[in-house]
Amino acid sequence: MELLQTKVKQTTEVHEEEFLERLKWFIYIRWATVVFIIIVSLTAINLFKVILPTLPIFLTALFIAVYNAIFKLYLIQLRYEFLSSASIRRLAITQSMLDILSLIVIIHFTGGAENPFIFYFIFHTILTGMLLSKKDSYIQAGIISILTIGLFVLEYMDILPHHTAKGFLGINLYKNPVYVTTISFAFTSTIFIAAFFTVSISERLRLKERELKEANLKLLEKDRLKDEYVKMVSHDLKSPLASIQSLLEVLLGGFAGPVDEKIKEILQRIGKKIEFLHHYTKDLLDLSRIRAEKNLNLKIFNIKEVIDTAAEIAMPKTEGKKIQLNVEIAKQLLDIEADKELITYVFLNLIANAFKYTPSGGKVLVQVSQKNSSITVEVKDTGIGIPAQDLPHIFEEFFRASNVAKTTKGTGLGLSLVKYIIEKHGGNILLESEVGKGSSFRFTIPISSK
Amino acid sequence: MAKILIIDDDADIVEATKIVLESKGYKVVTAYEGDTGYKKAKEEKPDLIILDVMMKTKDQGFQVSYKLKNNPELSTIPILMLTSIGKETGFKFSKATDEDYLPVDELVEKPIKPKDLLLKVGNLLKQR
Repeated sequence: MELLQTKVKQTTEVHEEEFLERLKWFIYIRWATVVFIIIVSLTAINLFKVILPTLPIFLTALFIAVYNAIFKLYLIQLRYEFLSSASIRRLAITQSMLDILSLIVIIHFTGGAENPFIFYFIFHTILTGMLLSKKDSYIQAGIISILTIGLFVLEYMDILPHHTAKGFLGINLYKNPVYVTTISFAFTSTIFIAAFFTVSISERLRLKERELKEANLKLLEKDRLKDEYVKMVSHDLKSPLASIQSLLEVLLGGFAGPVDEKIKEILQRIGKKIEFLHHYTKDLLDLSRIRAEKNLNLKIFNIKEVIDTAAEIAMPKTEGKKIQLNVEIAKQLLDIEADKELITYVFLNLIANAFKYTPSGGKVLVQVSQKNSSITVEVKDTGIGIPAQDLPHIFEEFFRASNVAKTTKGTGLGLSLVKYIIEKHGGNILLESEVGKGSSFRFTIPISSK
Repeated sequence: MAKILIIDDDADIVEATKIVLESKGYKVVTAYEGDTGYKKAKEEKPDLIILDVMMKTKDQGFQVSYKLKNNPELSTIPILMLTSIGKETGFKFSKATDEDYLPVDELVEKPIKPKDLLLKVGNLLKQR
């Protein structure tokens, strides 16, 4: 639960990051707007010979550029600081208000109600609607409408001077009450409808986004619980087995008093079964754990080190038999990039198998060579070998060769996992074997499994 | 004769280990939980501690070993750590690779054979 809460907090932070991202995007749009105002004004004046009060227009454009630069600097120095969502909202609203005011001033100086560019407010409404909440968006739309209509009315009533864009419209439309009413209505309805669409769409998007994030969180949490569960089950299954084994060893070793031969034999039989159970549990858990792992945990490591670890862990499988283990690694080969744990598992299984099925006096050879960008490993023994008819099935889950199925204990899971791991690394494994002579497993994996 | 403290929440493991050690004349003190174990270590000043990993929490043994190694009075006591979680946590507790963050002197996977136990205990006590 604790974990879930911290993650939920993270998602709100991500949202704030997005918010800041959008604010940065708005800064670019504002630069474009400044350029647009200048180009359109100059075009109107020079190409269409419209008479415009250039000074106030350019001053307003300059004003926009200045506060845009201030916001940009503010965002840059803010990068490493934490910002609450409330202050980001304030920041967004401040910018938006300044934008609205600047645009109103420009509209005022370029013809007021007569300027068809007033409809450009629709872009402002859409952009801020994507960023702000539903309520804020409608408030913005309201402010835009009131200011615009206010401007029209004030110019109509001659309270504010009207700046006619001479050469654009000859007649004084701003004095025509029908026109002013119509344009006001058209403008207000456009702005509100735009706000409504933007808000509805972005609200639905936000909702979907939140749902996805929540679903993803739940999945992550489930995944973690499953891992925990596998670990706990594994511990809970193995612990009692370990206790039984320890207690058996105490009896067998005569630490709890003398044990006669018959009892000793029975205890040994129990011990063998327990050991098999222990081994089987371990293999099953390895299987579920390794299969459940979606991605390889890639690391750069020394292959010799892994072989040494595996050989050391596999050593008890010799059961006191005299088996010679030789490891030959191509000199230039140092490190490979793969899942260290899984590759250790591969070596452990192949070496332990070789030990297990090789009689005393035999040899096991591990050879590692490099060719281009891959390495080839051969684990070769002088053991009992695998019958030809079993070779095609040897990597199947739970399959055990016919010559060992009755005589030695095993789960038939080890080699299937070995094959799975190697293929997951983008490699392949081959087997050659002859009954009575020995087996040779040869696998190839890329030096880097990236 | 050397005094050995066994800390493990599994009474059977404690019993099995105790019988084996006592048969060789070692004096054995036991604790069935990490915090009690740490307290006993302070009181008894054993010559060796045998410590389980998963007890009340899944890594209580590690926490106890940190506490022991950071206490100047106890830091020289060798720790033999027993675990049944080695493999399924992915060889992460391999002594060879993780010595830096695992302050124990020996790490053995359960079950440990009496012969091996006595050998390891003997070696650790000799090193002291």
